[in-house]
Amino acid sequence: MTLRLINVTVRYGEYVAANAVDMEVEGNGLYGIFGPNGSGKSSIIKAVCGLAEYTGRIEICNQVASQHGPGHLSRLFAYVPQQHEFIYRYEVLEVVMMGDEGYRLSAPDSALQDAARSALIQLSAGHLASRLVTELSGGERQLVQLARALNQNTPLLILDEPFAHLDFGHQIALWRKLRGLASQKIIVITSHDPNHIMWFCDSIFVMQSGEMIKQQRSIQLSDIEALYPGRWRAETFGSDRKFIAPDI
Amino acid sequence: MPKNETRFFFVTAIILVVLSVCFLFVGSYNMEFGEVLQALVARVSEPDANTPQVIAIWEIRLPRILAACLAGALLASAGAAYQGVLNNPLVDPYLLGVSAGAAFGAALSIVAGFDSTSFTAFMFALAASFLICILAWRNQRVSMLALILAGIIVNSFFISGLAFLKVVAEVGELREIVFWLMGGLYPADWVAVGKISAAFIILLVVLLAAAQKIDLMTLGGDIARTSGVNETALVAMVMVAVSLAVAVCVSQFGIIGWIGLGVPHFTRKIIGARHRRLILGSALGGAVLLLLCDTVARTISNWLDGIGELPVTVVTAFIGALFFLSVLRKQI
Repeated sequence: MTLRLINVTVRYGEYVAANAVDMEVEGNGLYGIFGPNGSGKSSIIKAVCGLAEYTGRIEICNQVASQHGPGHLSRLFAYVPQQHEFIYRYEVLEVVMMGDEGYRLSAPDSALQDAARSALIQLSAGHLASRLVTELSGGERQLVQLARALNQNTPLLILDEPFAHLDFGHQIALWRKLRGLASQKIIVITSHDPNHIMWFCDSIFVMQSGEMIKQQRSIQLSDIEALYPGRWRAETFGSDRKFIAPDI
Repeated sequence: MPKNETRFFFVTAIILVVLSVCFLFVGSYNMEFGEVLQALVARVSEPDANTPQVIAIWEIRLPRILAACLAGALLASAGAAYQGVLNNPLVDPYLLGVSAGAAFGAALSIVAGFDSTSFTAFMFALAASFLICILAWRNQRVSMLALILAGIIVNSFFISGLAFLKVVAEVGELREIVFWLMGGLYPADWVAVGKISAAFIILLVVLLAAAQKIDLMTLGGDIARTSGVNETALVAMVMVAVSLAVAVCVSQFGIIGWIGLGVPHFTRKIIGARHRRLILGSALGGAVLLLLCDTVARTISNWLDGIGELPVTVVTAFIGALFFLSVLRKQI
């Protein structure tokens, strides 16, 4: 299982959002892309998902992404965007069912419903199943999209700021789920929070101003100092674990 | 899953059958109950039967009822698919230039004295749709925003041309153009029923085959694409199918507004947003609504002697405005 980016550049008009990025993910695990706003994290994610024009080469599971259509790629990765608004009044279970490949192939509803319900329960969101998606909070909508992506059953899961709208309880549920899945899939997440990256990710990529500046096993305090000089402090707890807090 | 689904389909189908039968008895030519039944049976037992009653039932009312049902079903299912694939509940084929193209084609044909107004309308409706697709093509994809803007642009061009034609038209031609613009089922005959049946069946097959993918489109283009939907191919397929079907409908009966916009809204509220059932439900709902509106228009025309036939859009637009007014009041 691999995800490889070679010299990938993403431009929006004249603006270069990500510049000549190289990135290599090999083997299952939880991989974090960390960086400030506008550093190019989401642009890289969008390029991998085929949602942004790019130059360079992207390989997913040893297959060149640009040589395959959406149907084939959707069996390799699932994607959850940062924010999502629902326009139409679907029930939650219906949206989660849509992640299942069987949905497009018109499998019977009963089989699809069981899988969808199971995906919701894994995220402690089983109680949402019969609610209308248009009546959910931002965090609940995020959970529905996560469950839909899990239900897509792909070897690669790409999550753009998955914790942004979640309450603490659901953050814990999602981290548990992602850690549990990390032995079976490649999971790539973006995050602004150094604590999340430091505690839960197996490997990290640090981005700044559109450049991939580091790829390493864990985040270093020097990385945080380089991005946010003099605006944070580290507390130690347990034997050697660190907690990064704003220095105010 | 919405529990109202089965009830909706059952009740709407019953209403459709009951209304269709009842409306055989409604028309400017007064007939007793027994006469209608006799006329119905007469043509079956004796194909050459040609009494006034037989003609009223077999040549006027029956094709008109069927045409109303089929045109309503076609317009409403086309609207449901358009709103889904463009992920915008406020669009329908008419708002995006198809009607303006057809209207311009018809007006051009009337003013220039071409033989076939319907055929010219059909060709211009198709031309409008393809023009919109070409304008909306961006970076190997159909851009949704560009598609709606392109629709507004094409609409505007054809409306401008139409206004010019109305100015240069003579009085008789102008009346014909205006009547055509307002739409009506008065030209319904068995040939028109045949054409609209074929268009509706082809449209329904295409839309039902694409229904699951249209569902994914309503989650947004990014999610649809990463869920395996080729947005461009899907949008192109639905647009071509809808444009062809609507063009057939417009070429036969002129412009009948609001069915494609309002019926999917109403149906969605009752049976939910999944497109397989929404397209079928909208088709049934559209059939009932247009049949009802056409009969109301015919009845009003009979009451108001001397105005000729009241265009069905007068009734559909009035009901559509009332429906959206109620939607607006609930949301504020």
